[in-house]
Amino acid sequence: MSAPSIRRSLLIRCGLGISLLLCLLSASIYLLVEKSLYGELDDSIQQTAAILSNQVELENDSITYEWQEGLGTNQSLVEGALFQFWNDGNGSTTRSPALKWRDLPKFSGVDGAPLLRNIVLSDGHHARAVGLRVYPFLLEDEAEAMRKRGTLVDPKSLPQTLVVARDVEPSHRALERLRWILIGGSILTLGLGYLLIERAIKASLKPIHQLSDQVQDRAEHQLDQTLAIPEDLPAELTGLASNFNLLLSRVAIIRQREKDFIRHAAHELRTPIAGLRATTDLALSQKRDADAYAAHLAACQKSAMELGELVKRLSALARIGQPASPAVLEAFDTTPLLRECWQPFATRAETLGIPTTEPTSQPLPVMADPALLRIILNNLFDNAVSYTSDRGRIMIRSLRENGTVMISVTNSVDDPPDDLDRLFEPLFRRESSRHDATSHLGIGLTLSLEAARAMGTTIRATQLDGEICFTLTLQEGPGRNRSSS
Amino acid sequence: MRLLVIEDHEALREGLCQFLREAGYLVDSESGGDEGLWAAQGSEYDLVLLDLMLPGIDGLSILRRLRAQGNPIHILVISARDGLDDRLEALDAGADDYLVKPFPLSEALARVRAMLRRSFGKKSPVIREGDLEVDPMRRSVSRAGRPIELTALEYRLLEYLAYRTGEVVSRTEIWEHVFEDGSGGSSNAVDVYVSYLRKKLNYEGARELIHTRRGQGYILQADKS
Repeated sequence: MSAPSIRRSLLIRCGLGISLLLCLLSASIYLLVEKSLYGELDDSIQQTAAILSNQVELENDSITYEWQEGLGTNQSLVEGALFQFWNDGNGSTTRSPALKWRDLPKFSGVDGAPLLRNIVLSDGHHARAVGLRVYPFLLEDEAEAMRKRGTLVDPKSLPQTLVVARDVEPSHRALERLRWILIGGSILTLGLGYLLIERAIKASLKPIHQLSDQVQDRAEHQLDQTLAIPEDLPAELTGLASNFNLLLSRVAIIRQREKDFIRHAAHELRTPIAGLRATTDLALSQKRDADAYAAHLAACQKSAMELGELVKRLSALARIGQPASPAVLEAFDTTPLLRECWQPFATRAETLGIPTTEPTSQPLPVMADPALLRIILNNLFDNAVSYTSDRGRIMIRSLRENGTVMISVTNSVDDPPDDLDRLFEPLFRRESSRHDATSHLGIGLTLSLEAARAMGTTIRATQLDGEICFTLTLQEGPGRNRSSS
Repeated sequence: MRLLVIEDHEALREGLCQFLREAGYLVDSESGGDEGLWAAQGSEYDLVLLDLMLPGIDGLSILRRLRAQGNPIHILVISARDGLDDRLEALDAGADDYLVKPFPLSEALARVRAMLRRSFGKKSPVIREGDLEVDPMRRSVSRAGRPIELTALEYRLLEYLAYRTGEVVSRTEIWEHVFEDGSGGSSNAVDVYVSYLRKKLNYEGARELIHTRRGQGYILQADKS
């Protein structure tokens, strides 16, 4: 299921908003005009109804409609007027002359209260009408006469229903025209509004499409290149684009790291492969005796073992810092690990006659990844033994300071490099004064630095008085406070 | 011909050196940059095979230092770096050729032969002087169409004189470029081997090819005026 687009969502919401606004506006206009047109009319009808309701008289025990008796005085009232009386007692009715034989609808409000209503006349014209209940009035003289006759009749017992109407066909038609005008105008306004809003939305969303096109048009080799952010990019999109570029730059770093790794791995693999190839080429270049072949096979075996070690280290380098195998920091005493890692190198150092200062035996709690720390220590110790100058020494020290534990490995060197940072570059090898240094692969310190970074720390190299010192800083773990060693 | 191989990888260095020795060249080797530079600064080598990534002074620095000193020695770079930039950098630094690892030893040998030809101004793979033909690829010698059997040392001596046809070659040069170090030869070993060579090259009615320049050395030339 696809989520609604911003464009569609904006169109629907704007359309609904405009429609509601137009409906309210149109209805208001219509009602205002209607009220204006019918207001005076209603007053007039009610006034007429009021006059006519006073012209029903109880006289000689019967109802007399004075408007019928005094046509002369009520000429202006009756002429052309549309009204009708119903005698609710006996069901008789009387109409105004203008109605002729036609009836008006009979109605009134609750308890006979006046009620205004739109009605349709028998000729099909629309009319405005008021219906109400009226009672005949009784003159004092007539009341006296009735008492004398002994036939006193209560006017309340002779209710009449009066409906007064006024033909409003022209006004009705005008209102009808107004209604259509308002409906048509609203629809037209809504359509035009939709069109304009659509254009405005399209123009507003153009930068998004441009950015989208930039992303879509990327060739494979440009996948990690940052987007060109136009100067006129809306502020709402600038943050998104900048963050996207930030993401791309991270991707670029990772890709560059992968490229570097592949390049370095290829470089590193080429030389032992070349050695292997040279040995086989040489062995096969002419017929040789068994001893010669055995020597060549031994050389091949040595190259294969070297390749195996190299692949192992390259794999470790590739794994470190990858999301699949993040560093797991745990609290542990690093002293046993230090001594365990140092043990084989101590034997080598002793064989080579290198004096050493052994690691501390006091507890040294740290927060670190033991597997990564082991890689770092092995590399630092291996380098120290391999590169220590003649009559040089090796010192392994640890120091607690401000919540950190610093482990340093120092050894004497003949010719310290000018740029110590280069030591951490892949494939960089230090000048050696000992034969076994030439077998180093040049990625040990790179591996160590990557391992330290994976634990959120670093290794730095310093040199002083012909000695080079590698210091690893670790976060101190929970444990007793002890002095430095 | 004396070659110098500067390569820190033991298996490659040993394999390459032995292959070149079996091809008839005198080969010395160094595994470190500093030792390699010191050796290359000597004048006795005809060609250097140089790795770029070395302990100590790296190969590019060796190249630049040799060229800065005006050293004309021919240098074939052998490197694991296969990028165009790497090759351009090495060639612009003064390398004569560039070979990417891993490579067949036969290709390395062919390039060595080609570079030696270029260094002595020869175009043809077979060196001809009069009726003498020296084929460095087959390590064969013939005169007037007749094959001549030579020992390894005699062949090296003839090949070196043939590459330098028309030039007077001093006894010291012959000693440095043809005789192995520590071969224990006496001071007149060069003269002795030249005489052996003359005997093998000459036949009845043939004109002398190797001439003595008293106090200077020897010259190989068919038409000596």
